Amino acid sequence: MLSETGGIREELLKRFIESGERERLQEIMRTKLHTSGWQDRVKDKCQKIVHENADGIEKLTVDDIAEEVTPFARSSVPEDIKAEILEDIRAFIFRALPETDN
Amino acid sequence: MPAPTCSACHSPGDRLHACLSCDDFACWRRARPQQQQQQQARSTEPHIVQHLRSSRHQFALDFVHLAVFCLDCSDYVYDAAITAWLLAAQIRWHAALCDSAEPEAKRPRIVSTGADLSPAQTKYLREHGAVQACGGVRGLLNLGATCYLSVVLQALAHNPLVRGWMLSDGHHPSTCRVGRNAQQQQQLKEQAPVACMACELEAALQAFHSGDAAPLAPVGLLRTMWLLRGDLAGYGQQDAHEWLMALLDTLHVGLTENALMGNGGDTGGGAHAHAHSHLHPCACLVHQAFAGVLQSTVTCSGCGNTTHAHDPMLDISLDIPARPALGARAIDASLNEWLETRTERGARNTRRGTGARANASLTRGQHPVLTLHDCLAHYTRAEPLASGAYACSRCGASSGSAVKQLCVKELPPVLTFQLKRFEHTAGARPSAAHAAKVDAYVRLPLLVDMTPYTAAALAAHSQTAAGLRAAAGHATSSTGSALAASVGGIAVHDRTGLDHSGVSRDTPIPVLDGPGGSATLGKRRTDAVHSNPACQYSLFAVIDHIGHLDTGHYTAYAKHRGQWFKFDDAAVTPADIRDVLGLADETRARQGLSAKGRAYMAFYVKTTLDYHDGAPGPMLPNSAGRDSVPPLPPPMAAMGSGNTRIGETGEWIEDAGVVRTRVNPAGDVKVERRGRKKGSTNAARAKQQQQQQIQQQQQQQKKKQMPPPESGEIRPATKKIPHQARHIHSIANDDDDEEEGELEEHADEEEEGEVDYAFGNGRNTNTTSIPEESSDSDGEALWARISKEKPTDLVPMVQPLLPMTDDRLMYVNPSDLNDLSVSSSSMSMSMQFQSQVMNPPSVPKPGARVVAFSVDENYVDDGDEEDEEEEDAEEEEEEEDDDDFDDVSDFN
Repeated sequence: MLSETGGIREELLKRFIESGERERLQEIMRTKLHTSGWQDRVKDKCQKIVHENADGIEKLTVDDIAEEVTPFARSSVPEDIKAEILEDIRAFIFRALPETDN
Repeated sequence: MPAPTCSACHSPGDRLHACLSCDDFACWRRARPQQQQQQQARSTEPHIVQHLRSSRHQFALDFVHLAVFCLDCSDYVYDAAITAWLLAAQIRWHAALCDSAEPEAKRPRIVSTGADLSPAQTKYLREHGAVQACGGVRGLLNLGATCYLSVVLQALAHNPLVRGWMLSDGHHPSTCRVGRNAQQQQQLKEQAPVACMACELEAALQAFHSGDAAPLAPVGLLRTMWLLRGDLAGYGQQDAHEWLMALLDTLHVGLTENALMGNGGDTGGGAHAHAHSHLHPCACLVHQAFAGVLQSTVTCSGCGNTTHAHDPMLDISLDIPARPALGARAIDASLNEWLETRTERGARNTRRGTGARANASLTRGQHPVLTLHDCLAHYTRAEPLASGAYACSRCGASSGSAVKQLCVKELPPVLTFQLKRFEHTAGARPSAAHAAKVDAYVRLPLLVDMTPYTAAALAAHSQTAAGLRAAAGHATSSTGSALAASVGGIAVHDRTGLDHSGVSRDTPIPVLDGPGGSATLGKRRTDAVHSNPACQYSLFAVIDHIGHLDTGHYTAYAKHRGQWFKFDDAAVTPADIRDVLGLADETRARQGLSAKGRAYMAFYVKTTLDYHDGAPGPMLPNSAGRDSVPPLPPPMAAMGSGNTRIGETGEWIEDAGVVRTRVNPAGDVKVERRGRKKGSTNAARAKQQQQQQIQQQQQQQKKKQMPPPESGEIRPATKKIPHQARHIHSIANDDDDEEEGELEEHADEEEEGEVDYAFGNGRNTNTTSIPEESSDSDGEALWARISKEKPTDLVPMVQPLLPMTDDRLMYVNPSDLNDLSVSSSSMSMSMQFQSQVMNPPSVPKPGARVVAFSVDENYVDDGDEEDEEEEDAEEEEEEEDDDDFDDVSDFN
């Protein structure tokens, strides 16, 4: 059972990417996040992190900044955008599932 | 197309990197800690890091962000050469995207050149030039309620195009024919005292960058404006927007009068000097930078006849809608529920307190906030005209309703928005009518994508919308919402001839841009369109207005070298994005508290700059059996260099940047570029000798068809030589500063690279010729002026590699030929391009443009560059000339 769902999941993922749907949704999501101001806020937060970092900017890696900002970024995504994107993904799955019937 | 997958985990996903030493791909996912549960988290590394370590390779490249990761530093590193090369690749990609998005766009996508200073020049500058302290940011004294003047001046001073053009001698008071100096020289019999706004602006900008940090008193500007525009005179508070328009207008007049007088009228461009219409764009700075074209489309609901009207515009004045157009959407109830539980669970799991959780999501508070996009959507919405107001020419149904929609047809390089914050409310008596300020908070994005509001996107969307609806009928979407079937924002003609009068509200014709829109197929206008990189803008200045309409105060925020500053008359302080955008106000607005929106005007500049260089399209030779297209009217000159003239042989010569276009009476176009001398190294020289021989043979053949290639003598026509040389010098540096200023803007955003370009003519006969060497003469012009010699000749630099069409990209990097280490890669790249496009379409379109890129990877973002004020703010950008120093003797 697990392997089945695993197989379907991989198949779906592959289809998701290869059909270009992932790219399209990424672009849409990027635009939405940007127009909602999320991007600006995250940028602001990153700047704050850089300023407050005690080790100095020389030692700071992209990874460190990413680690610190990720929880904030994740939690501050507007819910309506989340909902829309999830809906899009769900619709894609609905469309794709009949084709992956084994 | 198979997606690249990580070699370790086989997922085609997250942050794929390519190892630069082998052909491995790996992602950033960390290895699953199977046996390593006991160890620290740090021992699990991203797959790519694992690969690099195990194979002892050093570098990997991130696909998405084009950043190089270094193993030893465990971080992304930045190297000038590789960054420049990547930028060039990205620019080519963007250009391809732009072309595919708007294939009918006639604008040439030619990006400005790198600085071409000869080593002799560079040496002179180094010895005699003085690097000034950082300037560019100065307060302005308030001369009595002149805060409006301060903010407008700050916004213009930080406008990269205006600043760049002005600082590169775009308009020099000593040669201005309108300003005070001219009056002394020529004793013009003017009734009013002569005043030239361009001179004043230039003086102001010089003062800004002079290194003096004390506040400046803009007396000259004020006086000049009062002289030129009596209606704005007076000590009262004026409206900043009105003032900006007046400033631009007087600037335009000043610049075009100079151009008129400068050309002596011999090109007959006089008729175009003052007028600006979208058919004959004015060549002055103001219009080249600010002017766009608006399109108003009226669609008759009866027969679907669409009529377009075009209007030039310098800015966009946006109404503030009452509520966001893109606000709350109907969301599937079950999905919403699921989402709620998930976020609650997620929120509970975070280590933050409840206080923080309240602020975590941007939509807590549930009051939607207006954004610039809402205003734009409102501006470009389809609005039904009052019945009877429109008489359709095709079906003649004057009683039928029609739908009007605005969009932008041509986007200017600098986009200015004005939020109409004043509303006139009529009182009971006419005298009681007063204006009240609309205080609603409007959030401005730092980057704005104008693609959904352009005419091209509108056309594309209406087609897809029609297609989609035809396919889906009027079926509601899976969300089941009542408005889901509406397709946002487009008035689409329904050819089924439904009776519209009895139509229910959710039928899409005519469609108002409202909430809803099925999310499944992303049919909302802002979703469906692929963004066109040519339409991306980034914010560089904001003007705020605080207080009541008549008694308020203006402040400005502007970005200088990546750092935002707040300009409050004489007080200049560094500012954060938070202040610029007023994010604190936004939070309050979201929570429903009263928030005063302060933003009044916003200035955006294109992130990928493309502009006319004025070269008319190459024309088809008659011998090919096609009709040759008559040359375009001359006056489409490049920014700041309205330099067109008729040469001695009756040729039309036009200088734009470092490109000179000649159109001979037979209609052949030859484009020359003043370039740096190549072949200063032995190997390259030997190669070029061979090429030269081939070249000469080809030229023999061409001699019959073309006029003998002139050695590029500058034909002074009616101008004095010093002025000519000066003008060339200014042209040469014109583009430097444009992109210099631009690069400063965007160096951190990594959107733009400094590029050289090479041209060819449009003839099909030339297929495989190789660039011949040229001697540098661009710098020589400056050098000559400095040493008071006659400027030497121009030499045609490059024979085209390929026949030019507007959908071809050609990659030539002349500076690479000097640098052996890079030359192989660049030559191979150009060879690749050659091979790709060796089968050109047989019909280059008339008006075809030439696009070519190369990257000057020798650009070094040296912070002091802009402040060299010697020699009229000439900018020097080449640090690589150290190589060429040894070869100074090679120059004549």
